Amino acid sequence: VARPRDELLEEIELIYRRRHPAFLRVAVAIAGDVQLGADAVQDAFVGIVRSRRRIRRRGALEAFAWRAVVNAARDRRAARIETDVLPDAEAPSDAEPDDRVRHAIALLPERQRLVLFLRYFADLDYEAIARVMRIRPGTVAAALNTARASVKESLEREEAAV
Amino acid sequence: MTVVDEVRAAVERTVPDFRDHEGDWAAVLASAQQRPLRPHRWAIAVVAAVVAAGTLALFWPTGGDGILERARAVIGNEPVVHVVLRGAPVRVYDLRRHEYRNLPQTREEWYDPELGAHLVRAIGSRVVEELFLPKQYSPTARFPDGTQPYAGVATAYRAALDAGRASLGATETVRGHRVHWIRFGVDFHWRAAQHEVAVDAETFEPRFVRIDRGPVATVAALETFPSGTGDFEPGPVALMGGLRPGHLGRAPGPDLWSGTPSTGPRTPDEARASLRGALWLGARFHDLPLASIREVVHPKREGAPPVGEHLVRGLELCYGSAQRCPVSLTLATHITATAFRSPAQPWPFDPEPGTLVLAERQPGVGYTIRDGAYLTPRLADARIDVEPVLPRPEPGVGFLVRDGIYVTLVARDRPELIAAAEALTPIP
Repeated sequence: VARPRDELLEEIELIYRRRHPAFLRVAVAIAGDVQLGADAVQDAFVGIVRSRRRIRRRGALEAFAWRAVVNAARDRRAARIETDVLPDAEAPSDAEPDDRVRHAIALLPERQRLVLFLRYFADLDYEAIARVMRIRPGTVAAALNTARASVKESLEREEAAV
Repeated sequence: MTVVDEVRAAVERTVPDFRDHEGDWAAVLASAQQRPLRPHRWAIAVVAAVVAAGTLALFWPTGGDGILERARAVIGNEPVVHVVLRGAPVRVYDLRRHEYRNLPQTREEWYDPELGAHLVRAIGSRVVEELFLPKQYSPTARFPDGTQPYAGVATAYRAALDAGRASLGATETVRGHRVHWIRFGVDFHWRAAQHEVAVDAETFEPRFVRIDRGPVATVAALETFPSGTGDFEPGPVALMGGLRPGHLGRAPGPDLWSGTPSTGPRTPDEARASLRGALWLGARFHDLPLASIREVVHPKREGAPPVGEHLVRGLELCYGSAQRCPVSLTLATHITATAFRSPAQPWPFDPEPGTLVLAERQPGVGYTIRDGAYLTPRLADARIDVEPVLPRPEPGVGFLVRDGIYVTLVARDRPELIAAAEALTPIP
């Protein structure tokens, strides 16, 4: 007997496959480690698949997925902190690590950091970020502006030193 | 290139783009199918459990089975659970002995089903984190700053053994001890953190703990006490992310502060007048002149949870040029509640007197409520005895407390950092 199609599962799979690089990149940025980020994405989607029948608003599925990935990455990061050993983040493949920028990002308030990651690494617009973080789009804009200013300041200090 | 593009490009360089990564959907499905038993399978589970229990009863304690039962048997039956874990030591530089030292790191967890959990983490003799988790939050609370309770051993280990939710893992030799790993999950919202307790193969006493196959912590104690006898007294302060007993019904507030550099003293004389006991490295340190002095102020964040009155007001001294400070120090007194946004601003840590706490790679955001007690999410950055995945030069960032002044030092490398720490002197 053929099993009935699980359309919601197919939709989740589509989001996973289509957006996996972005999910992974944001998760790595949050968790601070490639393996932890990859684990976080898997954790998140395992959770989504398991609980998919409780998802009521199908239209918000991608935001739901983003929230799950962000939360899973934060958990991974928290676990890493808790257990003392901090593996280093993987260096960018095509550039020298910019420690000053990395540092500036690390010191941002968490909300600003998440907004920055979701905007730049996932290319989400303000509305989408607002849905993921459950804040207002105006708050997204303000947080992003402040985060940009902090990073820009670090860049300027770097340039002035050259 | 616009400013936005420039910032975006700089940020994007910090993390690979992973454009060729496709993920592993099959693994997602496989893991999802390993879901703990669903309600409609309870009946089968009950039957299976009865059969399993009967089988175990036949063989325990003389057979090779019964490890989980014996592990449970060595834990007491009183309702309050007390766990003490020892983590990897934190390495510091002793400025008096001119040598490195390792400070022990301990974590103490109290769990009372009637009260919740009380977590205390200490490095050396200093409490660096204290957290109260009301029972309605524990053990699955997600606090706004990302803090997770991770009191899984105290709150869930015995319960998992009692409920048959624990499973037996590998038998290994860990740090010279033959142990059986016992796995149990603790749900933290979107994922189940896989906790493992290693019990001694002979005595079945818990010896080690690890979370998600992470580093191994030693179990120094796992004991139980009668109801109401646990330590749920707050220390000198309650920390951000946690709640004072008087606030047990309230959700914690937002998590971060921000700080603002301001104008202020520009000369050593003004600095000395501005901050009693202000320190410096002289008019010149190594090849670098004292380039600038400015005041840094961190106002209290709005809507903070139960914290004291603000703020950090300190001085930042730059050695180098107006544009670049290869060596800098930041001085602050009476740190209260703040986050630190600049590498040249103080670290939220209260090291033992005469020690320089060494930062590994990039320092992270930290939080201080009042002198002597902290919540430091990147606390582990203080470790330097862990082999990094990518070797990098030892960083020149550290912090210390001297005569009541919190000092954060940034230098070009570790030797220069230590030289600077040893060269600190009051501004004459």
